Amino acid sequence: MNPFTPLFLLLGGSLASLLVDQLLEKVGAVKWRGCLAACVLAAALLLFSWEAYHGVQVAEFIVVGPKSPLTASLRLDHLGLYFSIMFCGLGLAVCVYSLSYFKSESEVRIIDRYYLLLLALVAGMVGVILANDFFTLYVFWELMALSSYSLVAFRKWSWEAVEAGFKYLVMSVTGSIAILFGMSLLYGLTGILNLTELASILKSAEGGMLLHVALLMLIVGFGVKAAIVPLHTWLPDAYTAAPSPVSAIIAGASTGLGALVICKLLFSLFPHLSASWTMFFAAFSVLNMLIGNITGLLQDDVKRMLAYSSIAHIGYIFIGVAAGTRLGLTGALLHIFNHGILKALAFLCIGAIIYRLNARSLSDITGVGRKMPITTSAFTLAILGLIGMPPLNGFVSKLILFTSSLDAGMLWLGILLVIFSAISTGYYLRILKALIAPPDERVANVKEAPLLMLVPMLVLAFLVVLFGIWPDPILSFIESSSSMLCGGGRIC
Amino acid sequence: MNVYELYFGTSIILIVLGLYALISRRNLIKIVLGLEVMTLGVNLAIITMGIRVFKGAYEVDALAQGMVAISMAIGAAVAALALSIAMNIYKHYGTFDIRKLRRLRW
Repeated sequence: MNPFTPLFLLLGGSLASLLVDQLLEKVGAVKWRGCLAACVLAAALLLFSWEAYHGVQVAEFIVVGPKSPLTASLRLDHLGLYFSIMFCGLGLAVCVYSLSYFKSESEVRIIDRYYLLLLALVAGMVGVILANDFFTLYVFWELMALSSYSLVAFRKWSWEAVEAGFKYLVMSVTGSIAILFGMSLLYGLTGILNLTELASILKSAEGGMLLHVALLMLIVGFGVKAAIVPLHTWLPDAYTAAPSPVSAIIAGASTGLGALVICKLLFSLFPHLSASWTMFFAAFSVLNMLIGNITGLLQDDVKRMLAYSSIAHIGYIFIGVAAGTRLGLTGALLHIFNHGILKALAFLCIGAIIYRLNARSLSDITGVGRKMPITTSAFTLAILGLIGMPPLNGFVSKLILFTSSLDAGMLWLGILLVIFSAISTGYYLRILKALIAPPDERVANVKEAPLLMLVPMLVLAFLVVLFGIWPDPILSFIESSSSMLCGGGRIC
Repeated sequence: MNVYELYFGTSIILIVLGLYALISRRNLIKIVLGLEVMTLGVNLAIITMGIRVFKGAYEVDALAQGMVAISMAIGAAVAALALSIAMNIYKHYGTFDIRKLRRLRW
C-alpha cells in the first residue's frame, strides 16, 4: 500500500462528501449528512496509526513527472506521520462533535459545505506536514488557509463572522504573499525548492544578506498563522466568531502548524543562521506571553480568553525555538501537540455550553457547571492542563521547555514561563469559578450536552490524563523526530 | 540596468503599492485589489528568479512558469472568496467603508 493513501483519501473524501451530502438531502436522509466525512477521517486516522504501529518507514512520493529534485514530491517521516495522526484525530473529534452541533434552520441548509471545508482543512494540514518541496507546501498551505477563512466566516448571516473572516483573510493572505516572496528568493539563490536538497545546499552556503531576508519573509508569513505578536490581531476575532468546533480545530491544529513549520524551517533548513535569530525568538516569545496573558485577564468573553491563552502558549512554544537545542525542539514539538489537544478540548467544552445556553460571557454562564457536570469536568481538566498542573500533559511539555531554557543558558526565559503561567491562572480560574458557582433561575432548565458531543470531549480528556501520567510513547516519537530535524544541526 | 534588476525592481514596486493600498484605503474592494496587486508582484518576482540565459537568449525556467500558473489560480480563488465575504459585509451594513464596521481595526 502506498503510505500516502490517507492523504489522497482525505482530498477525495472532501469532494465526495459534498456530492454525497447533497444526495442525502435529496432522498430525505438529512440527519446522515457528515457521516461520510467522519468515516473518511476515521479511515485516515486508522491508516496513519497502522503505519506508525508497524514502525515508521521513510518514504517519498513524486506527485507528477520524472524523478528529479525539481518535481513536486511528498515525504513521510517521523515528524510528518506523528503530526498527521494528531491532525486526523482532532479532525475526527471535531467532525463527530459537529454532527449534533449545528441545529438552527439556516445552519442546516448549508451544512453540507461544512464537511467539505473541514476535510479540505485537515487534508491541507496533513499535506503541509508531508510536503517535501516548498511549492507543494505552499499549495497545501493555501488549501488549508482558504478552507479556514470560509469556516471562520461560515455563519455568513452574522456581522461578527463575516468581519472576522475578512480580517483573517486579509492578514493571512498578506502572510501567504510573504511566504511566496521568501520562497522566490530561495529559488533565485539556489535554483531548487526540494527541502532535502535545499538543506544540503544551504548547509555549505554563506549566510548572505538575501538568505536572511528570505528567512525573515518565511517567518513573517508562517508567523501570521502562528500569531506571533504584532501579527496576532486576527486571532481573538476569528476564534470568537467561528462556530465552536471550527475554533477547536483552528486553535488546536492550524495555529500549531504555523509554529511547526517555523521549527522545521529553522532547524532543518537554516541551522547555521538560527544562532543569530535566538534573541529575536526570545524577544517575541516574551512579547507573546506578555500580550496573551495580560490581555486575557481583561476579557469577559470566555472564547476570547481562550484565544488570548493561545497567543500566550505560542510564546511558550517559542521558548524552545529560542533555546535552539535538541531539548528545546523536543519541548516545542511536544507543547504544540499537547496544546493542540488541550485547546481543542477547551473549545469543544465551551461549545457545548454555548449550544445549551447560547451565551458565552462570564456573567451569563454563571452556575451552568452544576447542570452540566461531565462537560465541566472535562473543561476543568483542559484548564488545569493549560495551566500546567503536574499530572496532566501540559506539565510535561512545560517542564521540558523550562529545562531547555536552563540548558541553553537562558534561565530568565524559564523564570518568565513560570511567572506568566502563574499570571494566566488568574483568568483560567475565573472561568472555573463562574462555572461552579451556585446556579440561578436562568440556567435552571439546562441539560447535559448530547451524547455525540460528549464522546469526543471525553476521549480528548482521557488523552490529556493519559499523556500526563504516561508521556513515554509520545516522547520517544518526538525525540526521534527532533533528532531527525537536528540531523545536520549545530549544538543539538 | 539589466533585465533582472528591471523585473525585480518592478515586482518590489508592485508589492509596495499593494501594501500601501492595503493599509491606506478605506474601501473593501480596494483592499482586495491591493492584495491582488501584491500577488502579481510576487508572481513577477518568481518569474525573474527563473530567468536563465540559454544560447545567448533569455528564457524562463519551466519550474518558475509552473509555479506562477498555480499561484495565479490560487490568487483567483482567494480573490473570489474575499469578494464574496465583502459582498456579505455589504449585505449587513450597506456600505464598503471599513470605518463603518465594528471590529475591522488593526
